[in-house]
Amino acid sequence: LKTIKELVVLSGKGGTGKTSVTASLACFLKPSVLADCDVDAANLSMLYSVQEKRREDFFGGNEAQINSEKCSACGLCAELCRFDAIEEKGGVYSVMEGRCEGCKLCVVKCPEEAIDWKPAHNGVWMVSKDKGINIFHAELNGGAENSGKLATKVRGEAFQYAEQLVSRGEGNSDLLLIDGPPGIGCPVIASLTGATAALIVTEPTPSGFHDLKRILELAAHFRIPSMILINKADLNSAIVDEIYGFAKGKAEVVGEIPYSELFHKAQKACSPIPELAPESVETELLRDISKKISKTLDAISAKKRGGER
Amino acid sequence: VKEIVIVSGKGGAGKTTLALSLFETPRVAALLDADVEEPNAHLFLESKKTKQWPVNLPIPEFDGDLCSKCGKCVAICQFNAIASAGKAGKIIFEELCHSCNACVELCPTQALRPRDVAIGSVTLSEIAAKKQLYTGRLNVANASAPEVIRSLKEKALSRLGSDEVVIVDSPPGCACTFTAAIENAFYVLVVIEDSPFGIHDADKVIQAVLKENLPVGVIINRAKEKQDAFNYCKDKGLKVLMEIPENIDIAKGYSEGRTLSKIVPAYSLVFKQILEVILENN
Repeated sequence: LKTIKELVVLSGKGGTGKTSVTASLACFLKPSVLADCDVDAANLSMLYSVQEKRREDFFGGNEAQINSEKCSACGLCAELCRFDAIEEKGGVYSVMEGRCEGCKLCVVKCPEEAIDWKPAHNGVWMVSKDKGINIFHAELNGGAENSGKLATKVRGEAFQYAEQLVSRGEGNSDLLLIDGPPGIGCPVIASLTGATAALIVTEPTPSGFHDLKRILELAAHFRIPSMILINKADLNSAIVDEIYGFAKGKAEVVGEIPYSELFHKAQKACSPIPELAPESVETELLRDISKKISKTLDAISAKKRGGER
Repeated sequence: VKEIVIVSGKGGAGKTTLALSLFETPRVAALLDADVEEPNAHLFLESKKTKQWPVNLPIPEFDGDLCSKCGKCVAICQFNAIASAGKAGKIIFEELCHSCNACVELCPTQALRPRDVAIGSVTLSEIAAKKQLYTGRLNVANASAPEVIRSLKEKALSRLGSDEVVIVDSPPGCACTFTAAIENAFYVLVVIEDSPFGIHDADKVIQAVLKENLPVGVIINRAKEKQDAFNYCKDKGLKVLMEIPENIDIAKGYSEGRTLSKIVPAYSLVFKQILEVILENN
């Protein structure tokens, strides 16, 4: 039986405020562990004064490397490669950086056994701490493959640690809060599958609304219940109304936050909004929103447990 | 074709806004929306006529009658997309398959054969004044975004004259989709949101672009009085082509589906000049 609740914060469109919302909600939801699965634009730890406790290299798979001494330049590898990752310059074959998907076909087919199969270093993952909050995060190497696998790694490590804390009776709560990546691709799927629920942070703009529909469709595909938070809600009240209309029967809208300078100020101060401005309207709204989220998460978990019995 | 590719690292920095602004300048023939997970440029443009092509990838199909149960396919698959399932033979997990063809190549009895499966689409929209918008779109619940980006570029470039200038609107981040977007770039334009997150994420893409030896310039968006982004560019010796100040009217105009030059008309001349500078100096 799953003991940890996982809430993943997504948006479809980038720049709607996922990271700021995640850190702000954490002030009220008190998760045991935070995970930043936006591994190629990781910002969550920047909202804290963190101390790094652990750092590990990440090898997402293997990649091919041609040994030019053994290579007979037959060209079979380039012919077989579906990713056009092998180039030939003046009769010398080599694997282009960042292009090898790691399928191993060329390695096993090379008649000269001239292709080495080397672990691919795609980035690092870290555990950092600030005042009792554990943050699991990562940095994908620029242009690297395997962002989905790195997101899976960060999420998996965070989950295990949260389970340990809870079993020792040390955690703040049974919640793992995940800051997800934008889009609907690999790393989003890796952050979303099997989660207890998704919180979609959207904005009332044509792009925000369009992308909200696609991320909701993705969550529905994986049967993950969704909630919606409308950020920058005062930008366009007509689209806000449309979002409510669209969400009906699909997802609960847990609240609205106005377009606010506090998002930028919080980044500059390395501090979540409720800590930076405890008396602000934004903090009050975030407090209410987190209460609603808590309630909904409890209801989802209770329903799941019922189903499993 | 000269591809001017717009990147940012952080999402929401203003890529699409700037892509649309440059698309409006006379020299540009086409806009390629390569943010295939969440394509948005079409929301701001009125199209007269559209045409669509599917993007397919070959996924193996299993024929149990031909299988000799040698297990080579399961052993070679690096993506865990094939599993043995006793009497049922092999199960293929389409969403994990990378279409590398390794299992098909290694199967001694041709029990695995490739079959085309749609993973997305490329749409051509004819916009006024002989301009074209090409939109790549990844199907929901599919993970092959880089393949859709490469198909989008192939389709667009095959239909455009060789001296045409095109703008490519990229996905956020700096993973494999970013790599696919900047391939064959003539120039990379980085939009930096003037914030700690914006600068952090832009720095990662700039390092990756410089490693590829591609020419690069910067537009700073939501510029603040403190000029953090400008100072970052100065430190790194990066060319700043334009600064757009923080402005709630621009955010509101964007939320109404208006492009930047409609909100601030004076910008259309600036974008025309920026394009000329990029084309002349590279």
